[in-house]
Amino acid sequence: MTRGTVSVMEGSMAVAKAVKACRPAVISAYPITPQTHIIEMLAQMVAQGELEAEYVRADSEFSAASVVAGASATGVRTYTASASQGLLLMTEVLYYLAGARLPVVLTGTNRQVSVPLGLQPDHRDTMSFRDSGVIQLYVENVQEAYDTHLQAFKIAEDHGVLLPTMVCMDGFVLTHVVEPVRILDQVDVDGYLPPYEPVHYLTPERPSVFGSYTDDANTLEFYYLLQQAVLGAKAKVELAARDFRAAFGRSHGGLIDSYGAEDAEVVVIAMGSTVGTLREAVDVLRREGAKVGLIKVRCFRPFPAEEVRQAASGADAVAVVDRAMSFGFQGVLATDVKAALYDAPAANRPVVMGTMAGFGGREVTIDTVREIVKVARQALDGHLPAPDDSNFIGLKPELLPVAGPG
Amino acid sequence: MIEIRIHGRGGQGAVLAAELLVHAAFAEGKFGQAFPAFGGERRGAPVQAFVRLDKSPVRVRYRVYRPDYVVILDRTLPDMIDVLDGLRPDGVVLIDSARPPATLSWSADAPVYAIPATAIAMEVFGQPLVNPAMLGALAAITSEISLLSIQDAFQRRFPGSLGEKNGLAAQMGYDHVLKPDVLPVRVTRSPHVRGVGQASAPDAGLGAPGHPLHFGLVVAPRTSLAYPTGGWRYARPAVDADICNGCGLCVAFCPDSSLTIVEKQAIVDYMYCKGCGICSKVCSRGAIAMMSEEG
Ligand code: SF4
Ligand code: SF4
Repeated sequence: MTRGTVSVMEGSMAVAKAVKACRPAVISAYPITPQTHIIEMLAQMVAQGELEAEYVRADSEFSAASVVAGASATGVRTYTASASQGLLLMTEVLYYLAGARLPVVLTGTNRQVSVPLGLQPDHRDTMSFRDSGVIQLYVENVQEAYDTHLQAFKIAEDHGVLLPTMVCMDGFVLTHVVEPVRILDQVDVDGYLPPYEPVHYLTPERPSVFGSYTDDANTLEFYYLLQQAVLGAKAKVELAARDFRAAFGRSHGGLIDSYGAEDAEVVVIAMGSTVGTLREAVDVLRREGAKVGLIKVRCFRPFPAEEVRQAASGADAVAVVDRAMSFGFQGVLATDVKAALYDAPAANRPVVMGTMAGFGGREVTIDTVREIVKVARQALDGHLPAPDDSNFIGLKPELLPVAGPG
Repeated sequence: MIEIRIHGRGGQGAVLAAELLVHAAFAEGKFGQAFPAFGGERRGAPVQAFVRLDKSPVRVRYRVYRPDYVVILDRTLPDMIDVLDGLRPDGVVLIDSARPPATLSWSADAPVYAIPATAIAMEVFGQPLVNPAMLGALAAITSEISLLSIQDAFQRRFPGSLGEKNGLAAQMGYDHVLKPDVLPVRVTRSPHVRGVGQASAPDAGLGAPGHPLHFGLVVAPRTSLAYPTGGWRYARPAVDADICNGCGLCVAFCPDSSLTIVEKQAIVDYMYCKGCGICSKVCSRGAIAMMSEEG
């Protein structure tokens, strides 16, 4: 049942191959580290005639997003990718795509947002689309990045969904890593992902308007419909993963994936490439006698509240590893996990501890996880007055100003 | 699992070496992971690449902090950065050097193989492409990976005669290690090693001791003084005092402000000169010659 051929390649190449296999009609992008390799490879595939698509080199990310918006509105499959400031420059258009229900697939190669100027991966860039209506899937390794791009088109283009879908992969850690990945044959991809059949599209035969004016008489209802669509995508994310498993024999989870969470006292919740390290850490810490488990949030929007609640409610403590922060409040994922667990019966509602780890690209190692679990246990044993909601793990006090600004 | 850290300079192929190791291991049925340290890559700047090889898929996703093997593609690097940082107690070091390892700067005690990779490369390619000889030597030292797999990996990447040359250089690196008189030299920590963090002046730059971050990351000018980019240099400009008339043309063109005129003579600041050679090109009197840094 395991199909395709395994070979060793860079993460960006695997993504380019996945996108190519999905046969997009229009690709438009503007280069930004660490997305560059993906779009370079796609541009080359188009130039060499391996991929029959229109590749539009745009003059900015805003233009690139606008190009795919326009192309998608004509009823064809489209793709773009960006990171960091580049994604933020796409912001206006991404909101538009969600509202106009245009199923563009894009890759967010996660990178910190300036200031400070830097190249390290964290989730501030993609997480800023939390409230846009864009579906977001976070992947943990190159194989999942490849597989999830195929699934993303299927989810986005489902007639019950029709929403832009973003595959989020940590920059460098996943875009620039070279590792074995199983690439499917075109015929198998075609079997899994049928050609896109648009419901509404621009055509001279049947003139129509996208994104027309509304007022307070009907905007509320429009938002209601959008909420129904995004919520409805939950089932489709699961379905796309199930179909994928049935066809190709592997799965990375649907909305979530859990590892050793069933009987765990401390459950760590995370997204993206740190999940791989956390899997290893669960094995290591369990050998050391600590009952630790892991929940991977694979689909961040729509948020799998029910699934997280069920998977985590047996634990005594939940530690959320957050790579994005809502400044002035707490880690973005931690907020959602707490909201999800609020509805758990009080008897099995674990203590939730937010931790900022992997934030700003600071690496999460096995020792980092050991530290997080230790703090979570202290919180459980009542040695901490209250779990701090924004534990900055590994903070270097010597770098902090003695007095505040001013 | 074995963990390898490769130190090189931008353009030297450290990342390619890491990648080819994973290809070679994969051909032997092993799993692996290779990735670069992330930063603004520049030619000549010190770079690192990391490799993990294992019997099962590699799951962890962080830099190699505790290497079993350290491979150093440039013999000047131990002077600039702490290449031995985190080396496991039973770890082994390979360095491209024709000089005895004991004469180099080390931050810790470790067994070091000196591989004449540049010499081998000059013989085979006529260019200092050190990767194949270093990887061939690694194959001889570790049982984790065979020479044949490494040669195949090069051949697949560079089909034809270039691949064959790479294979030959790998063989020569391999053979060198197997010579009866070639043994790892146990080096000891040398007092003059500058070590990590000190490659930059210790008392300046972002986040240096005693310099907490400004709340808006606003910094004073000239913080780049903390980064002595002279370490990136392959070639050094040498000014011939008899020819130079102090016209100052080179000063205007130096992209790193590494030239000054003192008493009608151009003086190079080798702490920061990156060896780009622009000064040598623009000097109308031909007063500046570019000399190989290795001598
Ligand atoms: S350009 Fe040549 S002659 Fe003029 S100062 Fe520089 S080295 Fe001397
Ligand atoms: S080689 Fe000459 S121009 Fe280039 S950095 Fe050095 S001094 Fe400046």
